[in-house]
Amino acid sequence: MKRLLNKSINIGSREAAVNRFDARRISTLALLTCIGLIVSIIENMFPPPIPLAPGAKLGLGNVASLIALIVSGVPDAFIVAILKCVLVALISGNVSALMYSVPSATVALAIEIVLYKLLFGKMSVPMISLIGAMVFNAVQLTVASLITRVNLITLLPWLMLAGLLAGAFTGFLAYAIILRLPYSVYGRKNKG
Amino acid sequence: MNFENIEKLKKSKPITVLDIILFAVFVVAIGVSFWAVYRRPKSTVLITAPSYSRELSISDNAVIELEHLTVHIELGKVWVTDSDCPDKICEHTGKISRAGESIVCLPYGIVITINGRSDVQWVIGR
Repeated sequence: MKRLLNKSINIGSREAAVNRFDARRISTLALLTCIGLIVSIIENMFPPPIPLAPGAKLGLGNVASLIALIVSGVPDAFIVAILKCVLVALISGNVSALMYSVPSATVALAIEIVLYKLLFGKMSVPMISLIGAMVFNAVQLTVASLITRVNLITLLPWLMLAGLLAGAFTGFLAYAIILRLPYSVYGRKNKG
Repeated sequence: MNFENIEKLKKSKPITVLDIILFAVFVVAIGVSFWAVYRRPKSTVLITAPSYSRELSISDNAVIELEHLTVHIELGKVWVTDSDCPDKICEHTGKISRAGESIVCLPYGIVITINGRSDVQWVIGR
């Protein structure tokens, strides 16, 4: 942490440019968080696509954290994901959803990061998102069954199926977005 | 911003070979999990009368004529016809199909019940 701060003071060097927590980085992360937040709130308003599992939704907010991971790095992805969970809970008034969303988001993001760092050449972004979505649903089901003390394992196949489809969809979405956004969105290239 | 990552992503393919293999593995695993969670063990139909007892599987379609009534088993459902008891409650019970359900004819002491493990039950509280 100290080395990070020391490096950030050294404005001229190239390594500092990546680690510098400057206005561009703050505004990019804020924008990603807001986009994920709004998309999550809107998709929470839809009726549940699977009547058996009321919590299963198209996790479109995970597009934001995935983009943050690829574009900005590991700590930024965690910042976006957890901040998004907290803000969604506060804004939509459903604070008890934090119990389900924070662990699921953290574990899913951690696994996505591991997959991304280790296997990115051989595994594409939609697949990483797909596995992350299935892990997300699995952890959510585990937390739900711990809290309600009911063995919810009969919902597992449906949630895995939903995670498979939704994860592929959001992964392709994240891939397509990064593919098509022009470089000027990220700031000028020669400034790092 | 991490431009090397973005460059790498722009060069990467949307679907790779490992993707397809893993996707197939996941689909098979999900299919197996559906089967494992939702399969039903075979139930049996147990017919008991004062001097008679018979047990058969519920998937055998059969018509069993007892002294006072006729038991039909068909398509996983069991019902009674042609009974000569005065109130015919056994006939009015209708068709039973789940473990634990039973048709009783009290005047003649005939009990037809379905034994077996009941289906997986989940309760979604509201």
